Amino acid sequence: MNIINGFWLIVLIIVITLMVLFNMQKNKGKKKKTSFIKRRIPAIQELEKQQGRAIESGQRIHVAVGNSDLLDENNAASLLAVDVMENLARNSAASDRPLITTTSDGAVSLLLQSRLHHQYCDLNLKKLYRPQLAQMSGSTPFAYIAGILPIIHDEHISVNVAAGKLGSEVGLIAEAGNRKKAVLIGGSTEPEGQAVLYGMAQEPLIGEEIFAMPAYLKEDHKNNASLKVQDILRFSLVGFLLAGSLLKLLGVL
Amino acid sequence: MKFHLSVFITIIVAALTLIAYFIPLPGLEKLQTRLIDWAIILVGIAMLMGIWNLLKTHWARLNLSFQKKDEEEKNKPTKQTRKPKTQRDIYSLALLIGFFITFLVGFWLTPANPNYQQAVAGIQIPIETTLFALLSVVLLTAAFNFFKFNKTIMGIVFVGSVLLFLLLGGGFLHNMAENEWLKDVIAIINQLPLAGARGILIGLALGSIITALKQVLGIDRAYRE
Repeated sequence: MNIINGFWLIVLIIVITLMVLFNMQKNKGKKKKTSFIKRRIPAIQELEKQQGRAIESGQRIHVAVGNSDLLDENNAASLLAVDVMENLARNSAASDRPLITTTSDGAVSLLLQSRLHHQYCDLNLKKLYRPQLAQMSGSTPFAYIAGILPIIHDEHISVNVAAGKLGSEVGLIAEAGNRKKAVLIGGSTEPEGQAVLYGMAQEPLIGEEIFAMPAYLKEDHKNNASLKVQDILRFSLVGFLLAGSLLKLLGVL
Repeated sequence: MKFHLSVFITIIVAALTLIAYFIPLPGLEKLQTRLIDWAIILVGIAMLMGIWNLLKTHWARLNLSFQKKDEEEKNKPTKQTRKPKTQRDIYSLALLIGFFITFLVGFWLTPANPNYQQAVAGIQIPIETTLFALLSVVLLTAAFNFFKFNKTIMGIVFVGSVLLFLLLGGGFLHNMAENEWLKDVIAIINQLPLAGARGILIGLALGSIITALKQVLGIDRAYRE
């Protein structure tokens, strides 16, 4: 009985291997408690520095989660942005001007509110929590940006963090931020957004660096395991690509 | 280890949806379709809640602005440092009025009505086009600034590639492309951005896989109780 065809069988094997690999790395990190040496990412170092500055100077951090919803292929970007937002919100929750976050999707705004609320409860600051700190500013890419511009203008934003699916319209965030002397740090899962961020952000995150953000912002074995598996996958893929090219060159493939 | 019912449900639902892709049994496929349909309904409801949140935010801005203005008046130093908030309040008011008019008319005529669609598109498309035009000016300025402030090797590469692709995309080298050798060079150059974009997309795909795995295995949760 041919229930599973060849292609799906390969995908299934890869998924199971990844699951096993992930759990192995996680358990290893849990047992050993060794410090995992991470490579230097200037954008994240700058973000940590700017976060401290913002809190000390009574300014606000804005996290732009972007346009992906939970049903499209970029939903991982939204989940990542929720993680990043939670890690950044922890330090600024008690400040006069806490972190504010925006999205263009209703479901993602609920996730952001849920995580933010949980963070405030954890820190015993439940009274300071307001649902408006995580808001849906517009439902299309340009409506989303149009909703963000007044926030950058009026809410004393000193750091804009782009983490999610943002197209070339992220340029308008950068421009509005420049006028208010706010720093823009981050990356996007869209190549157009990445190109604009490379030219306009103070510190851009390139490619998969955006998915490394939670591991750098919060040190724990789960995040370290995901970083390690990501590295293993990357090197395996590079190996496969090089081997494939070589075999093609030799006429084997 | 603490047992979380929500994590258990997440893992089961994720596993069933995933397995249905690999083992296309009729019963399992039906279940997968049903689960995805439920997700779509829930996302729709979440969108309504998001819109409610948006309206509440603008309503709060409308109300709080007067209160804040009074406070600012009280604590105002000798020189006014911030713009009065009256302008912004008008925008929030415009949003609320616009929303309710669109909502009520849409409710009355239904969104499938061609006149309603035309009216909405007639407002939305020009506004978004204006923003797009604004964006092109912003990007042009940013490109000049990038070279002005980054006179490094990357700045030079950036300007060089902009000029080169303007030449290639504009068809200026079209007549010279009859030369076989030049044809090959142009083909290689045209592949460069594709190769770069593919590299970035592969990296992003790897990150997405890991993020999804964390959710499926219940290691990370996007929500909190």
